[in-house]
Amino acid sequence: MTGLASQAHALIACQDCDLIHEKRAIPDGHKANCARCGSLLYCHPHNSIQRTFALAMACLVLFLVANLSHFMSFSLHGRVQEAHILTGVLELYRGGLMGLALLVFLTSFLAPLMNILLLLALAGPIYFGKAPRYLPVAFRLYEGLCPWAMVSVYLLGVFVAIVKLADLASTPIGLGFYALIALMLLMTATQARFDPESLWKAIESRR
Amino acid sequence: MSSTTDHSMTPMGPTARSLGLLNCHVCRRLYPARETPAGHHLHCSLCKASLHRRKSNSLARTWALVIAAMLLYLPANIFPIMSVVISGRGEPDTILSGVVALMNADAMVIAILIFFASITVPMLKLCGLTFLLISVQRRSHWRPKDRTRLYRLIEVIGRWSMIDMFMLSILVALVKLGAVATIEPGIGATSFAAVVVLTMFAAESFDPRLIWDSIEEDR
Ligand SMILES: [Zn+2]
Repeated sequence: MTGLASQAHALIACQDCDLIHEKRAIPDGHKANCARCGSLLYCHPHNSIQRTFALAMACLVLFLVANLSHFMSFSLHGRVQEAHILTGVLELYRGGLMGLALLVFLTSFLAPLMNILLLLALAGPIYFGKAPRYLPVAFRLYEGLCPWAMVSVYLLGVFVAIVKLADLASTPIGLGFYALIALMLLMTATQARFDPESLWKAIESRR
Repeated sequence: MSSTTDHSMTPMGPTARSLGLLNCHVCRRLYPARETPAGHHLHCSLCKASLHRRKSNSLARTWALVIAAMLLYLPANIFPIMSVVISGRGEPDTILSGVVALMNADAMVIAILIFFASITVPMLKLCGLTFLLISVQRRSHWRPKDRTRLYRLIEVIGRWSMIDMFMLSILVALVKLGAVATIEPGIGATSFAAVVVLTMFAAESFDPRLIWDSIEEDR
């Protein structure tokens, strides 16, 4: 089944209320919203693919730092315990809470890592002028995982843990904490830069 | 088209459905709707996604997920999410008693944050989705734009309920110092996590275009 004629390619339907709009060129950094319900219709940031690729590379480095170094430690009566994202998952699993361990693993580790890798797998080939067959599948996986990547929420969880433990013992912050903050900011910037439309255009133009 | 023009509540212009078009939810391309044999769907030629006029079985699926989440909401709040035991003494904390403990510890900002994330957000999601479901089933014409806004809010804030669960995972990782202090996660934590997951799926399966459909059909 082929798409509508070229004239219909300039049309876009609002995903929240189905209203049809004509696509127009908008300046970099601007957004087009639905005239009826106000939902975001599209935004086409310039140099989306190059910047997504570069930012996702930086995200990957920060992700590794955030996971290899502890984000806080806890010392009581001379004994010191360091916390990584994955030690929390492991302790929940050992405590018999399999479901919760899986959920924390998915939302704080697997989904953010997969999203960074998928963005690299999506933007990389297009950046180098290719459009491999796996792109649509990779994009759908990326889109499906987006709501489950919760680095920013995890960071707030760290803040609350620090306050909770404040009167129990000292909780010095580690390098991983700063890496997590940087990762949160950079991932937000990367996802805002990524424009799926440039992906579809690249696939269409290489047919 | 610009965000500054407000066309108030009056529905205007054609919709994909009124033009007989199917909107690919993945790549946003439009295709003319055609008859297909039962059980078959049209597929997008660009991204291979199957094309549907609306999310399939949206109302029934959302209702099922919302009701399941409501049932689990009770154990999530009644049972303790964790017990902090220091030097052999300690007591179990439910979500609400955890907030009270933070207030008593003069951590007011954090207490408000946890109250919002763990109590307000799940309540808002469950009540909001129920309201949206009932209003769509009653073919309500009441403020469709605000109801669409409510839906988007429910979609966005859902993830913030996870703060308590993340804090719990950090606490159990840090405080495994043998006899001195232990933190044991409780059954309430699993129920709460299930509520978060179910409401996220519920928000995903609701189709906000249904809010606008009945208004156009009744015109
Ligand atoms: Zn709209």
